[in-house]
Amino acid sequence: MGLAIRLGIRNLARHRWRSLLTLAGIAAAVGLMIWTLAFVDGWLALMVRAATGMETGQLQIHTPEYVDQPRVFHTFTPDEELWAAVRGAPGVEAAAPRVRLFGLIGNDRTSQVGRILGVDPGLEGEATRVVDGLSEGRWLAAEPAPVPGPREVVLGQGLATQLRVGTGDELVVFLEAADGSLGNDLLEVVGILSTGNAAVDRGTAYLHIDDARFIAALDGEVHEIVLRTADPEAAPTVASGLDGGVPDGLAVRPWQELLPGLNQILTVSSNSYLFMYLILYLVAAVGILNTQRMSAQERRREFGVLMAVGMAPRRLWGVLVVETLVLGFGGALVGGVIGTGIAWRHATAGLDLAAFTDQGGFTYMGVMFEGRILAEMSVQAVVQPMVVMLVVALLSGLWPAWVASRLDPAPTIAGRT
Amino acid sequence: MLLRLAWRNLWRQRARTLILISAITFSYTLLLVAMGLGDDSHQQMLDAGIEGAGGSVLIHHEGYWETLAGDLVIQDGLEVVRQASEVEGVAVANPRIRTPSLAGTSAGARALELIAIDPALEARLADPHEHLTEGERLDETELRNPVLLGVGLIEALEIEVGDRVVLTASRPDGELTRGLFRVAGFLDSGLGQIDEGVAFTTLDAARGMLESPEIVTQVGIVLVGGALEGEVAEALRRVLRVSEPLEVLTWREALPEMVGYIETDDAFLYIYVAVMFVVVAFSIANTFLVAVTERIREFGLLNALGLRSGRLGALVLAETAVLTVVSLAVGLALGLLAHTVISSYGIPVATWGVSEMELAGLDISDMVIRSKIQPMKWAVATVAVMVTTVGSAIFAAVRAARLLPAEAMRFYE
Repeated sequence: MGLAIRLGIRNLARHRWRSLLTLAGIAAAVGLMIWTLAFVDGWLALMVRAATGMETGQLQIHTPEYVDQPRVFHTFTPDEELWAAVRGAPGVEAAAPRVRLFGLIGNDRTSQVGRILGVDPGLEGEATRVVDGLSEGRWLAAEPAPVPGPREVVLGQGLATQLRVGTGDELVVFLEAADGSLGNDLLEVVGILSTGNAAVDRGTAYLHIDDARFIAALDGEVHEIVLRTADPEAAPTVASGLDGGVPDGLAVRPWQELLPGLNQILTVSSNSYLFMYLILYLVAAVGILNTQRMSAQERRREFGVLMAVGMAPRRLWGVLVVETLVLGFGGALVGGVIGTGIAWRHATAGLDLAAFTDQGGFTYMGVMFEGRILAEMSVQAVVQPMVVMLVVALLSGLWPAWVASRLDPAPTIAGRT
Repeated sequence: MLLRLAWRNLWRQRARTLILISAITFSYTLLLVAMGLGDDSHQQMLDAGIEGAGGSVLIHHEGYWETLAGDLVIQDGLEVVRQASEVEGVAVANPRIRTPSLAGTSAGARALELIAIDPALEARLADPHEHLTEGERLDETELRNPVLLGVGLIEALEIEVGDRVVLTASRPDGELTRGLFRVAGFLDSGLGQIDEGVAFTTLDAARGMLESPEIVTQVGIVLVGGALEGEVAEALRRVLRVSEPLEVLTWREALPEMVGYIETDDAFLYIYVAVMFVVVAFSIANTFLVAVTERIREFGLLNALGLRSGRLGALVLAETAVLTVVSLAVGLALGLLAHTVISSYGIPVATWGVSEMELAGLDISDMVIRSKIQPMKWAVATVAVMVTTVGSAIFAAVRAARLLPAEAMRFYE
């Protein structure tokens, strides 16, 4: 083996230009693959974070009737036992109650249709990262504002723009209450949210849960409980674990069920890199194959002599395969360094979408992609493309090596082939 | 002569040439197919976006599009429609009233957007009646104040065709107002946004409820075939004269998020294609480098026979050019074949496991991607590929040109 590697390296060095060009091709493919994996990981993580982390949470609990038909009166009243069961379940890190309402929010100029979330300010902050999304003002106070003062509301950025209000402005909410009456009340904007979750930013208003209950004529009831799990991927397992511990046949659903569209896109996107492998590496493999074939053909007399002086065909085959492997390894290494370098830069400084579109960004699957997208580095993203390339190089070296090892020494040396 | 020589030289190394041709062909075909699929899906998204927005060019009261505020209406709406209709390139100037509202019945209330339309004009862009599953068209029903609702509201509001629905909305002056409407029919579009979030009614009914006889929220322009939205928008900005401030937006300006997505998507495709061709180019450069070294005696002989060194370099380039042209011809044929097949069968996105997408606030469901050729784009791509592949042999060509005949002939294998 030592001899084979020495021979291989010497042969490659003898044709410096050729080896460098092949190596550069391999490096370009590996580098792009590493960057792709890191970027796709970052992209998907951003989607999951923005979609589940800000508002949906990883799990939600509703009554089956609410799942079927989200109506204001399909509520339940969680007791201490339920809270204990939910919070004690393995994998659950936080749980928060919510009242979920729809209504018109507006002032004397205009009004907009909005989604009103009544939340416990402290618990909501534990179960989701919505508080991180505050771009202006402050989050809801722990206790509701004293009556008869206006009730506090935190608005999504888009809703605030549409209503042309900022912190300190007053609004009126108008909605269908659980008893069938029309509830309405005066609100004061205390904060504005820019979370990156389009549903929150465009059309959601957060109220203190007690205020929301008062307006909607609810008494200690909730529409949903939102849960945070340590690992978003584990949400379905946590859900099935919880199913038994939750009374009255309440429905526990992981985000994969709550946001089926997002889940589909994630599955498809996380497999899309396979296409990239297929295409880029196929092109790279053709390059390696062609180079090695030519190089073997060129040296067939040399091989003939080697065989004539006693080198076994198997051994010669080994030398040639090792040569390809060395080439593949070198290319993978160079590509690895370059790809990791670029990916690392985009993982720390981010990749500015403005480079691709003068619109600055877009929303996709309810997630706003704006400004800088951070790639996510992982050992897998770096190592996998390099290892796969080695396999590809090995495979594309097999044929030229096999052809060379089947030379008939005598006519080859004589140049009669 | 150069080309004949090049052609003959290429086929002397059949396997090598075929490998190179297949690499270039594969990459080029892939590029064409990817562009075809991308451009078609982008076009579908844009069409959906333009339909959702309301036209290729939109006229609103200044500030409406950003806020969608019910009070930002064009008071002198009918006059704007009249003036816009006379602008060159405008096929239809379609007035709409759009306002957020709350639809209520004895069973419950639902927040939705009330869109008042002229059914005949609306059909020129996208007829909501296409989705009518039950009941009658707005322009055929006998009901007073008819409204079309999405099927998603049937259960929520417990309604049937002919039932009464009360719509609550703000008047342009900010006062809340209520109107009694009757359900003329139900729409089933498959899109949550329409099936659960929109009510269509007639302009007269909406004006009656809002007590404002001439208002229009939006004038959606459908263009005459071939007219450019930018030019029409410019003309409209020049021509429209009313006493209130207006905004005239092209779909590019009205759908920045969708345009952003499409541009980003395209940019990524180009990055991948560029790297792919870099890999291919290295492989071509390599092959010709070997070919030159291998044929050093042949070149020396040609040189000694009087073929000047510049011509030798040109011969190498001619070989690449022939190789490229053959590859691109095959690639183009394959690309067109793929285009035809994909166009006639279509690729339902659902087969990849994606049934619904949200893009720029717009639901797109059950998309079937076909292929679309944009001749300019294909031409530019083809030229770029040609330059890359022929360019990658320059190094080898220079080497061939620099050979000294005596030394080259002395070379022994």
